[in-house]
Amino acid sequence: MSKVKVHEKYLVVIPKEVREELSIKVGDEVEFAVEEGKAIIRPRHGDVDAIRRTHGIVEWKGSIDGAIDRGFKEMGKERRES
Amino acid sequence: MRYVDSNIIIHHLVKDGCVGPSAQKYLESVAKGDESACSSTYMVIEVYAFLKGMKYSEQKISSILDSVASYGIVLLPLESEIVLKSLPMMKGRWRLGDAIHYNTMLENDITEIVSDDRHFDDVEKISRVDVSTLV
Repeated sequence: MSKVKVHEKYLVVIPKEVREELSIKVGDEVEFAVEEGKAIIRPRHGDVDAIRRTHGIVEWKGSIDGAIDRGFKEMGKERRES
Repeated sequence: MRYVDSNIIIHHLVKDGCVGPSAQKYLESVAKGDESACSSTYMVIEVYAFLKGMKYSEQKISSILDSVASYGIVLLPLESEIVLKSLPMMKGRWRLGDAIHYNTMLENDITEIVSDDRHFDDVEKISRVDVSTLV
């Protein structure tokens, strides 16, 4: 466990081993949470599980641009009918 | 930071043995923080339109878009200047969506777009990156 000092305005430096382990780079966002009396810091990247969950969930073969255009037409049709 | 075209997200969502697996690996590297990626808010609208064209229910579309929003891609605002620059480009060979992506890149000083769309190959000031080269 690393120890760091809390500076003015409560600034702290994330210890090197922690930022390397979590791949935290300058400019990244991090989240803080308090759980059972401990402060948890975690990098705010994306949700890998959401990516795996949604991979290949749509059945479609054909032009993507064509499908997008068709969707916009569908949206226009719905609006006219409502 | 690279810009991600809507077609990369859609290739990932679709059961596509060609671009889909590379798109998934690339998006995972973005989610893990190994790559930085951004796109226009218009990307979400295009993905919505694509799913709408599949005749999916609003509930199902909403669930998929919630997931897309959690991929870790930074969404850049669709500002009125971007739309105003993009609309006249439709008189040429541009689709509105492509023009919006292009102008969003210029507005944010982004020079590389990860895309399956070869129309971006011959465009000034930016270069297209094939997703398969990133994984």
